[in-house]
Amino acid sequence: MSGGAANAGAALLEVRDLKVHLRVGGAIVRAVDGVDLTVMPGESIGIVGESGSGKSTLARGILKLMANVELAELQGDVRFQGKDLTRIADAELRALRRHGGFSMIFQDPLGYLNPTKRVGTQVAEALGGKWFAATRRRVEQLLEEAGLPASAQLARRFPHELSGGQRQRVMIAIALASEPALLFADEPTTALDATVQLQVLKTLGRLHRDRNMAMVVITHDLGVVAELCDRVYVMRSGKVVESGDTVELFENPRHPYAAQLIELSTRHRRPGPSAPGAAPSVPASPAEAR
Amino acid sequence: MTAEPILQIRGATRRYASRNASLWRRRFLNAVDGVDLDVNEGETLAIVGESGSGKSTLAKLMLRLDQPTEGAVLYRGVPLPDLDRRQWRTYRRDIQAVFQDPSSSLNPRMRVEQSLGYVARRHELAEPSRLRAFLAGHLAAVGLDPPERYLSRYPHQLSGGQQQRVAIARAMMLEPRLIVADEPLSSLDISIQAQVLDLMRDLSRRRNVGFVLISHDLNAVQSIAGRIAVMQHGRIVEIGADIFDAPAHPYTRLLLEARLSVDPREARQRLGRPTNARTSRDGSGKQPDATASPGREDAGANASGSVSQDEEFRSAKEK
Repeated sequence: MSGGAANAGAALLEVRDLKVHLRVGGAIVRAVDGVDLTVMPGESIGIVGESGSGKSTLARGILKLMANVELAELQGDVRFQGKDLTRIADAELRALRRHGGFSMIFQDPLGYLNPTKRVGTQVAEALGGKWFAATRRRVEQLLEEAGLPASAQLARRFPHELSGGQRQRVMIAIALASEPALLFADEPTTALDATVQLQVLKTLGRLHRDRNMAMVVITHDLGVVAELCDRVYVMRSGKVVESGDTVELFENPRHPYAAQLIELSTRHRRPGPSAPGAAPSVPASPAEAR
Repeated sequence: MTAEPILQIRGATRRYASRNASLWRRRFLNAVDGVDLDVNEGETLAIVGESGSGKSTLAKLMLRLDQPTEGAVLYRGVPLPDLDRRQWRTYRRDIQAVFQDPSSSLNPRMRVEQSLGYVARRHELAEPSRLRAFLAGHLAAVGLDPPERYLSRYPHQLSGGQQQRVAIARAMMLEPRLIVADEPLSSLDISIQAQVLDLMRDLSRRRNVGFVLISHDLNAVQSIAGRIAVMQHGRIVEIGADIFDAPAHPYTRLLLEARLSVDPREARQRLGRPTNARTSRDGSGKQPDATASPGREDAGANASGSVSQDEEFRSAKEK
């Protein structure tokens, strides 16, 4: 929240000079190139940037969810609840994921839900339990907390029987099962319709407040950040170009790239034409725009 | 602008057999349900709506990629199936398409020159000897400069925005009167979106090309569209030039309210006090400190009234 940086000793997550370099084909891509990031307990952080800025890789680098890439280099300090995640034993990492540590939700819930299992079963799995009466009650509680009414019935459905918004809520319920201190949300509402998006964002905001759960929201949409985040980091080409309090940064961006993102996001909200005569002379890619 | 619309949609319905249909009980879904719509020459008409509202199906009907179950689509007064050879040819040139995912609308095994050259030869747009210069000119016109560099590339060597520009260039080559663009922006980054929007605005101004712009992004649409049509459940529920300023239909209002504000103060306030955020905006809008921290605590308890079903459900439980 507001006075975050003051009591730096109690940071929930502290990332110092994190580098995640990937091997893609023969080349090395510096997807994350020296990022510092701090999350206080109960704080909500936004990471914004365009595609390829490294924002998702940053989250995966922190959480060690890098199974499907070839790492060229992973270095830096990642301290979560005082533990160094870069040097942590696998068993300890699993324990963090199982209870009280961190969870993650993704843009495309269908890709992360098992299509052959009822959603209730999948939430129960996240609880680490079988389908006992106590588990069932807890599953229903979690689904309800994620904003799904009539849970008993809904728990018996399969992922394909649910709408996109409902699926994302199931993912949220699964994420909540481990009582995380920190929730990573990678483009949580990008695939959803506008009206559903607002509802899911409200749910996330409520969970953030009610559970005093810290959040890191990764998104390309500044509106999502404005809606959810206390502080924001703006990323570009693997680096954080600017960070700060959301209100301050949005109203008074110092870095030209941050300013441009904000300008572009606000400009289409105004009726009428934008900058006159800009069209054919505009550079073809954002890299050339500088 | 001529008197006669370039495209007229008359009572068009497109019915699909529902996916849940069984052998015994067939169910149908009207993806487009009795739509009447005129598209005038040179106008930019936006069609907005959420997924499943039928906007893409409507675009397919306009492009004759699909045919209406009932009703008709008329091109300069002639129903599409009744076009004769010559009219069919002009229709094919006059009305062009740009799709959401540019990487899948370009052949991955063809260089840009081959992709565009194929169309140019098919329609005899240029002498074979002048073909390359012709294509280069059109790439330059969409801001791909120097064009020669892009001609020899494969689609995967281009960024998303560049691919979309190639797709637009391919459409523009034929000097169409109307480009039907189905979510041309949604796969692009925001800075590229702005460039493509500027390009479309420029083309419509300089060449008087009409656009049917299908989008779920109300903000993007608002800055460019002359008229906006809102679709829901296959029907156009509202259409007009200033429906965003004065929405008459509740669904239009709902869509507008679901837009995220890029103003964090406003957003925080909306989340922090969901009951009366909209009605008392001017009353408490200038108090950033009140919304910064303590105000967030009581939000859950106050959640009721005009907010989403989700929050209503929650607060009902809590009481």
